[in-house]
Amino acid sequence: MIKIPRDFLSYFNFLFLIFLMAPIVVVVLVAFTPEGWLQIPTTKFSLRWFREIPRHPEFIEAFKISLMVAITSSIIATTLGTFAAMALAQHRFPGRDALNSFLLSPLMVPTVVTGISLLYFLSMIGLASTVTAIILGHVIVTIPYVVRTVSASLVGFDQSLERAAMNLGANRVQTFLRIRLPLIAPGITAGGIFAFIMSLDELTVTLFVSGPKLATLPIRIYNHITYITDPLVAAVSTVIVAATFIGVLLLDRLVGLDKAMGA
Amino acid sequence: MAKLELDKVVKKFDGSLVVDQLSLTINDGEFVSLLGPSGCGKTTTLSMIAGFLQPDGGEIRIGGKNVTELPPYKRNTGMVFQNYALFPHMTVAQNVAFGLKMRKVSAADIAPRVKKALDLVKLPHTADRYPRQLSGGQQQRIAIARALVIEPEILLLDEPLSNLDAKLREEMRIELREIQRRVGITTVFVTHDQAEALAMSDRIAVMHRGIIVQEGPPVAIYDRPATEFVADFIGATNVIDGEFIGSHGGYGTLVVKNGLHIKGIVTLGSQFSGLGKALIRPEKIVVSTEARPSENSLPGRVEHCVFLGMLIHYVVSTEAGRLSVICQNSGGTFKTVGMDVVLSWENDSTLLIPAEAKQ
Amino acid sequence: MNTEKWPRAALLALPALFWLGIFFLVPLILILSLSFYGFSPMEGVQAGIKLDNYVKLFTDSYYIGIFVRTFRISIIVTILCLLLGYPEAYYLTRVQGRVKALVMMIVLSPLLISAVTRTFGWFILLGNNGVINNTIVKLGLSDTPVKLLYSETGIIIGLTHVLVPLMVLSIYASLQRRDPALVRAAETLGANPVRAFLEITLPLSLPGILAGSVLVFTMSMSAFVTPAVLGGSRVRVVAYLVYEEFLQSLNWPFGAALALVLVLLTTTIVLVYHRVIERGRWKEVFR
Repeated sequence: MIKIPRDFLSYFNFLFLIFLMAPIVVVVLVAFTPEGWLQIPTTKFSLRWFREIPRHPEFIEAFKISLMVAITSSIIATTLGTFAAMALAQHRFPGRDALNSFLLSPLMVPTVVTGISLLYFLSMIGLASTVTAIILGHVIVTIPYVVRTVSASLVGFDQSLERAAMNLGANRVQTFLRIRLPLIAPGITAGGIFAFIMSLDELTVTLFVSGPKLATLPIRIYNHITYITDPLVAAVSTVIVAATFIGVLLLDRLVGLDKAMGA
Repeated sequence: MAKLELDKVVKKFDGSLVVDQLSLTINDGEFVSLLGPSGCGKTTTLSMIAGFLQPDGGEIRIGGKNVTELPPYKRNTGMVFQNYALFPHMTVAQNVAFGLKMRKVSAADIAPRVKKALDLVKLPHTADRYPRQLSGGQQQRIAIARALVIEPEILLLDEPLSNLDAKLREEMRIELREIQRRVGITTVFVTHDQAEALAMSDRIAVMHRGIIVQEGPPVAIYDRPATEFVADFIGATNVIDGEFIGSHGGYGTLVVKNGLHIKGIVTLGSQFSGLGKALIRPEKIVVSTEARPSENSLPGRVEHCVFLGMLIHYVVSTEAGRLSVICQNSGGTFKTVGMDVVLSWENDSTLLIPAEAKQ
Repeated sequence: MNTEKWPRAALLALPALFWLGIFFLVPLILILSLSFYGFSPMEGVQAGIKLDNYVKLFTDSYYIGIFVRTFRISIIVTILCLLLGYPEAYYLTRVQGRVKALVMMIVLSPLLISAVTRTFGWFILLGNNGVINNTIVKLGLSDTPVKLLYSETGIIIGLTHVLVPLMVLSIYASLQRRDPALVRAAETLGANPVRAFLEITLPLSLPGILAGSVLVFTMSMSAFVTPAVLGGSRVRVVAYLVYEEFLQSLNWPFGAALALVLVLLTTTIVLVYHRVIERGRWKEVFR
């Protein structure tokens, strides 16, 4: 049996969780309103605003771009990040700590700054306002998450397994493919999913490098809510929330959520 | 300093009994070990004495006062933990002073008492250091000083020596016991190490599956184990199965399967009959190349011979099964594998117990 | 083991190193030089080395005011995250199994749910006709709606919501590391649960408190999406100012100078923090 203590802390926890969930719950509820304005439905629920989505090609177009960017950038970031994490897994070499800090530094630099510097650089070489620009930016922002997630899965890795394999006659490539890769595969997959979620959600850097014509889904929503606020955005957001939720469940299954978040 | 009484104490975890109707009295100033394998309930018992766990039944009294319902901070016990549990963010002096501070002793009184406690454990110069700057043995002594400075009624030791290396452990056994004698404090010592318990205790309570299977001074526990479990857990022992055919004057006789008779002491009264076991300690058996006058003797052949330095360990196959024998290395020649030998021992070295006393 | 040599496997980091070097580090350096350039609305960006942008930034009370506001918001957010995050982290150390997994999932959800969605949710909740204001008016706490949206209060609520998970994780990690025998030891020495918490648990969780606070503070100093939606041009913070300079006024050099001062501020805080935790005694105590 699970024991739930009932005291001050449990009541606090209850209120705290309500605080955390409130904005998301509100968005999802508003998506089901039959009315034309932002109202939480109490008696009547309607799928009206979900049916409205296909009639807005700008959202569909934005979603396609987002998906394309997220797939490409998460594949690149996962590849680069995994190799980097494997390098970091070698115990000690000169500059290891510096390398680690540098790989994680995009998390430390404000995204606004990453955004403007990339915009400046890309406009110098004529790449600004392209899908390539968005992908470049997303890889920068998501590499740290991959490095952290894969590193976490490498921490528990027993090096004597590889030594045992080599002792039994496997060469380096065989050892990597047959021993290490299967063992850290969940970590890599989790890193990939993490990068994918973060890319789908990226707003700031994209805002700077995408230019006025290109828009990913978050940009489209952002622009939408700064001008008009109707339940359409709530419906679109609800679809994204559902997709994120599935991704998060997978992530939790694969490595455990607290580990993936760097706890 | 006080007498500690456990009266039919019961503890259950998730419905299963971990400590079952345990009663034990420890007299003022006595050093008693709770000895047993892991999971026998000894640590649970200690936790109940300290107050970390509430018993599901029974009573615990310290100095005649019922403390069963008291939280740990209202019982006057001092405890030394397995990993010492020194507060890493406090200096040695602050660690030792902690209990006094909690008891609202004035700052002026704290300093001399801390100094006295550090003198007791011979580490007066470490006062301003942090625990992590000390060696394992030093941390151990500070933990003892911290537990004793509050002048507790009972000292609780939870496997305090298990994290030390072998040599230091033997030194600390002697030192810990000496400190305990000097302070004269009632002490409960929890351990799974039989050598430690034998070396240090006034009395040992051997625990198994939540109950005390035997309780007594170390010599009695070793020489007169009440059950096969005790004999096996404390030191090694040879067990020979047979049928009990009668007793006379405190001695009984067991018939082993091929008609061989083994005589030995009967401790559990002489009423039992049927299947029984003879327990013989390996070091009580003498190996010789030819028969010598003795109360019990058995021919056999050396199967293994292991040289242990100070001792030599033989495994000899006999009609009664394979027996272990341990001899002093007193020079001279060793028996070699395959050699025919005669094993002999005295009746007083043999203990007969009923077979069902498996506990 | 030879620690002086680069193992061949370390070369695996090169692709990531190149990517970040070219598209992240080089642009950052370029931005540094950009911040010394001049700008005029007629002729645009003019190369050169001038301190004009920095002079303007440090003398004009308008910009100083926005830095002060950003700082104030970040301090309040950090304190709120600490007050909310500590009890929650403590709660998490006491539950187990499925309950823990579920609570952990909800605690982390603000970090994983799309930023626009989450902020849009607060937008709905905080509006003059939003759930919170309707409740306040209904309960008679106030006759008129309280200004939550487009105010510092709104930004603080939104930022606390998204950053408190980082605080919880950080404190939780340091609480998890503590040895349960320490609290027991304090109890046998006469400390009641409150004293044991104050004397043992709280000081030993200091590394988590500090790490979490630095993280939350720097993140809220540089936050963009939340203040942009909940405050926008009505309540500007530094990051929003950078955005305006770059994409609306097109005064890139000044935007770059603003951004660099922001980076400098946050980096200084992180460096000071590292100096503290690398100090001998701190290291000795909290390893």
